[in-house]
Formats: sequence, C-alpha cells, structure tokens
Amino acid sequence: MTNPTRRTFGWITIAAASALALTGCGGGGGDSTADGEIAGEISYAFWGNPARAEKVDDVIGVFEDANPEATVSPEVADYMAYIERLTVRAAGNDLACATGTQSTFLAQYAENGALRPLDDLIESGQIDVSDIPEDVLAAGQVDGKQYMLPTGTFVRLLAYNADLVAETGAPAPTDDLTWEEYGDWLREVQDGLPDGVYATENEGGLMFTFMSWVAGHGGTFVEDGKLAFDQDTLADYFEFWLDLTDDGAAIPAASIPDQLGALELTPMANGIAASGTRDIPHLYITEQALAGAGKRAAVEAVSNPSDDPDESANILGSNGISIPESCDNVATAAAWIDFFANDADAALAFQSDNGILTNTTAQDALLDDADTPDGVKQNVTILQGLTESGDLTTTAYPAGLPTLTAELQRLYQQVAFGEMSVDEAAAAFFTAAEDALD
Amino acid sequence: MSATTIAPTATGTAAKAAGPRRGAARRRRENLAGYLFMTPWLIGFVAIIGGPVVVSLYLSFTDYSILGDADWVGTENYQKMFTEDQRFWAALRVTFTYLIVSVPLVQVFALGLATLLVRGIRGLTAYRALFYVPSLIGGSVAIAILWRFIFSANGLLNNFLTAIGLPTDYSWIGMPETALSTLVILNIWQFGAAMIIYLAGLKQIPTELYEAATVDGAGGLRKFWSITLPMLSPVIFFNLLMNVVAAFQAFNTAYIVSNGTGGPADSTLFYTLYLYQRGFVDFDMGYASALGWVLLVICGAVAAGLFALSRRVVFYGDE
Repeated sequence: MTNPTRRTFGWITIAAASALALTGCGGGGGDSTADGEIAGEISYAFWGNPARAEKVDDVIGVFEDANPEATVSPEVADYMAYIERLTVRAAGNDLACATGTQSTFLAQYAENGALRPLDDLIESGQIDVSDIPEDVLAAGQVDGKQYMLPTGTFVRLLAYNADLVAETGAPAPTDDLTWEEYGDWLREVQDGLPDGVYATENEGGLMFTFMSWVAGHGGTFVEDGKLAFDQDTLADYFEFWLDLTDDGAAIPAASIPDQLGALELTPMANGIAASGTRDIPHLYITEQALAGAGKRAAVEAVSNPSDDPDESANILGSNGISIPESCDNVATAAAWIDFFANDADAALAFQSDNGILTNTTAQDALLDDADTPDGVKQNVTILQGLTESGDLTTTAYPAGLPTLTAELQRLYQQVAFGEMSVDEAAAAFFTAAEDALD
Repeated sequence: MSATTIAPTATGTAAKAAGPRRGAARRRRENLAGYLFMTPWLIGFVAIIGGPVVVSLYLSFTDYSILGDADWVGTENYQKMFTEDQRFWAALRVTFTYLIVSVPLVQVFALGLATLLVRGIRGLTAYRALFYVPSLIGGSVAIAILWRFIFSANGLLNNFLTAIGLPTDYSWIGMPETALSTLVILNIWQFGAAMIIYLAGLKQIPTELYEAATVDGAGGLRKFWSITLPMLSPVIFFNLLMNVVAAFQAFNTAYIVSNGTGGPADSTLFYTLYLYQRGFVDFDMGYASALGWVLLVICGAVAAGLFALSRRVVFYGDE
C-alpha cells in the first residue's frame, strides 16, 4: 500500500506543479477595484524602438520617485509584434495592467470586454482629463465610454515638398482646396516635374486618406455598426486615384509597395513624389529623410481637401493607454496613466515620442523647454493651430477597421492592375465590411 | 522418495514463479523510469503541440474570434472556404505555383553544384560554407528587405540593366506578373542546405561503379543518369519531401516583402500568409483553424503521393 500511495502522491504533485506552470498561476493579492493604494508592481506594455523605450524608462523613473511604493515594469516590442502579442495576451486574459492602445484597434478589444472603461477613474479624479480637449478624448471612446486615455494624437495632413513644388512654378496648396481642385493642383505640379518624379504618392488604397475623402464629402464612415457611405463614394475615390495615375501625376501602382514600408523609404522621403499625406510627427521625419538622401527640402503641410468648407477632413486619432478588465492593481495603473498623460516632467522626459502630447499644459511646457527638439516643437505648434481653428474632425474607429484597411489596399491594387472593375471592387469592399463590422 | 522428488520440484516451481515476477517488476521499474524521463517531452508535446492541434480541430467548426466565445457553426467554415472564398483559391494557386516552380529548381541547383564540388577541388570547405550561408540567412528579415532593394523600380537589378544598356523602371516586386518570381529566386538562392545533403549522398556512392562504367566506355552523362541518379534517389526523395513541406509552410519572405499584404493584387498571397491574415488581422480564428486543417490534409496528401511514387522511382541499395 505504501508504494502506490507514494506514487499517487508523486503524480499528484507533478500534475499540480505542471498545471500551475501551464496556467501561470502564481498568487495575486492585487486590487482589481479602483480604491486600492498606489503601490505594488504593474506592467506597462507599449510599442516602439529602443529610443522610445529609453524615454519610457525615464518617465518610469520620475513616476517611481513620486510614488515610492509603486513600480512599473516596461514591456516593449515593435509595432507589428506588439499587435500580435496583444491579441494573444488578450485571448489568454493576460494583458499588462497598463496596455498601450490606439484608436484604430481600440474597439476590437473594448467591445469584446478585454478592457475596462475608465470613466469611474475620471469621475473620481484618479485620472485627470481637465487639460485634454474633448475631441482628443473622443479618440479614446467606444460607444460613449472612455476605454483609452489618449496620450499622443496623430492627424494626417496633406504634406508637400515645398522646394520641389516651388521649382515647378505651381502655387503652394492651401487649406481650403476641394478634392477636384486638389486633383487639378497635382496635375499642374506634375507638368513642372522632371521624368521619374511624381506629384503625389498613390493613396488609392490608404484607409486614412479614404476616411478624409468620406469626411470631405460630408459623409460619415461608420454609423450603428455599418458603413455609412454608399458604394459610389468608394468607386469615385478609386476613380480619382486611377485618373491621377493614368495622367502620370501619381506614382504607378507597381511602386505602391515602396510607400507601404518604412517612412524613410517612401517615395516622398526620397524625392520621388512631391506630396503625400503624413501624420504630423512624420513631417519632420520626412524632411530629415530628404536631407539624408541628399535632397534637402522643406516639408510643409496643409489641411486635407474638403468639398464643404465647414467640414474638416483632418481626422484625429490617438495613441493612448488602457486598463484591461484582468488588471489586479487598478489604482496604480490609473496613477501611471494620469502621470504619463499630465505630468510636465513626464512630458519633458518622453518628448512627445508617440503622437503629439494631448495635455495642453504639458504641450506648453514642451514648447518652453530649451531642450525640446525643433521637430517636436513644430509638431505641437501645428496641432495647436488646428485645435484653435477647429480644423479637426473625429470619427468612429470600428472594430474590424484593421480588416477593412487591409481590404481597401488589396481591392485598390486589384483595380489598379486591371484584375477587377471599380464597381466590383466597391461591392466587394461592402461585402467584406458586412463580415468585419458584424 | 516422492517427498524428495516433490520438494525440489516445488522449490523449482517457486523459483521459476519468482523469476518472472522479479523480471516483470524490473521491467515495470524500467518502464516507469522511461516514462519519467519522457515526462518533460510528453508534457511539452501535449501542452504545446498535441493539445493545440486537437483544439484547433474543434475551433475549425466554430466562429471563434480569439476575444470572444467559440460558438459551434458545424461545417460552415469549410463550406465557405470551398464555395465562396476566392482568396482561398488564390492562396492555393500561389502556393502551388511557388512549390511546383521553386522546389524542382532548388534540386537542380543543389545537385548540380554538389556534383561539381564533390570532385575534390581546392578550397572545398570554403565553397561549401559559402554556398550554405544563404540557407542560414535566406529567410531572415534583412534578406527580405534586401530583396525589395534589388527588385524595386529603382533597385539594383534595374540599375544593372541600365548600366548594360537596357534601361527600365519596371518594378519586379511591384507587378503581379513578376512578384512571385522574385520570391522563387529567393528560395532557389537558399539551395545550400539541400546541396550539403546531396554532397554527403554523392560521397556514399561506391567509386567502383564509376570505374566499371568507365571501363565499359560510358560517358559522363550516361554515368550520371545510370549510376548517380539511381544511387542518389533516396537522398533526392528526402530533399524533395523536405522542400515540398517547407514550400507549403513558406511565410516569412512573402510577409516581409509584401508588408504582410500578399500583394501586389494577391500575387504573393501564400497559403500561410492568408491563414495569418484571417487569424491575426481579421480575428477569425475559427476560419483560420479550418484553413490550417485543410493545409494539413493537402500537405499530407502530397506527401503520401510522393511516398507512393517513391516505391517506383527510388532505388535503395538493399533491393
């Protein structure tokens, strides 16, 4: 009897140890309510390069000085790897207590219950949003609830190589162009460009440009979980870019892969295209890339074209931080988010590295600081100008947007290479949207 | 008499009975030790491979979205795949084209070079290492990016063509007609691993066979056809099988070169890339699981076909 008992006990021990190892159970003791102390360890997961990771380390240092009982463990990965990891971790109920999120994919996680709303933390004052504009806050909302606190906004504008455009003899673009005028301007620029250089990158498959097209035509992208524009809107958009390509004003469809890679390798950053849409922080990077390619030039930006002068087509999105439902230290996570978004020292340490800082007071601190790089100051100034003039618009970023983004790119290529008609592609997009937005 | 007779017999019987018991106990202990040594692998296999494989079969009959519940939908995923999903067929077409073109070419390059290198030329080790290096780095991110630099409109290939008087701005990687070809070339470039195996196989062929053939007046081509190929056929079969399986699993290069899109216009949409898109972009894990199982069945069927063919064309020395 002794041996079987010992053996049984041994197997039970092995099984229990294995189960613990496999499930990752290791005790807890945290507080999943918002009322706990700012203490203990939380993880902060975000995407970026080593330079950004260093800046986050600096912010963590300042935070831990202010909250000696709390520690923040950073977890960084490059964007694509981060997105994949996010999916897997969400499936395993294992998201970091402070998880980096973005308007473009926020709804996927919020609607599936992976994230907790932050509204109670905002109401209690644990997260202060008094210095963050309402339209910026909206970029972190899903179905009216705040699931992400925006910490760095992005707005895609119409960027152009000012020196190259001036050489063509064409006037600089203005903030009040309609889409038709924009097309005419591109053709005028093209007339003055040398062979092999194009007036614009080819954006027929870019979701952000298409969203601007919809907004600029007085439409709404998504409403009540369905596409809120008609197929003709998309077909017209495809036609607009196909015509520009046929006229030689947009880079050929075969060169589209070049504009999908690293920013520094895009046609505009290499002087092969005179214009293209860019997020505000990318204007300065494009300028630096041009200088690096031996084609130093000033990169300026104007508002996206809009057929209605009262409707801005500058769509605002944001990066930010969310708290998952599974977080067992909400109070510390909230304190970290509040600190990251609002503290002036944190702003100076992070240097607005992932989108433009959302807190207006912290923006001023950045502008006043002598150590803030010129590019960062330029970004903040542009955003403040857009905010003051009200030339921004918000849009709902639906769950399923990543699918639609990929589908738009694919279908435009099918059309551009003559493998599908414009109407077939528009219809296929709507069919795909039914599944993606379901 | 009877007692003396019976006693040893009884003792002998007991001894005989105890012997098998001790033997059985020893075997059990040995078996237990064996199982204990196997336990880490077994846990790993069940938890990391076997378990997920079984679960994925179940998920293929659900609408699992990774963040939501898995509701049973029966064979809907498979029906949709075969009857509605044009991209599934496009992915199959791309994968089979890639396989049918690149796998034989890899064998030709690898065997051809191995045949040259086996002749005992000076610096053989250096050549061998040199040709093997692409196999080590060929599937890496850096090489995939390099491929874009070579085959884009302003890439090295077009610069070279311009230098020799054939100016062109054709984007080999950006046109659907040629994009897959660049990936085929990338795969062929990684022939080193197959070459090393061929080299080892060639060295095992008895030299007497060649000597006898020479005496009989056979030329180089005849010797290659009648001696080298038959004697090397098990190695060729092995390489072929490995490369076919690898072609079905090809992912990295297409993912990086096309920025994960499978473009232009789905011309580099490898099956695994499509599976990835459905799982990790669309969050349609149920459908992705079904795609995975169909790939497994196709891969298994092709492998079975190759094994069946091998009975006819592969020559083992002991036959």
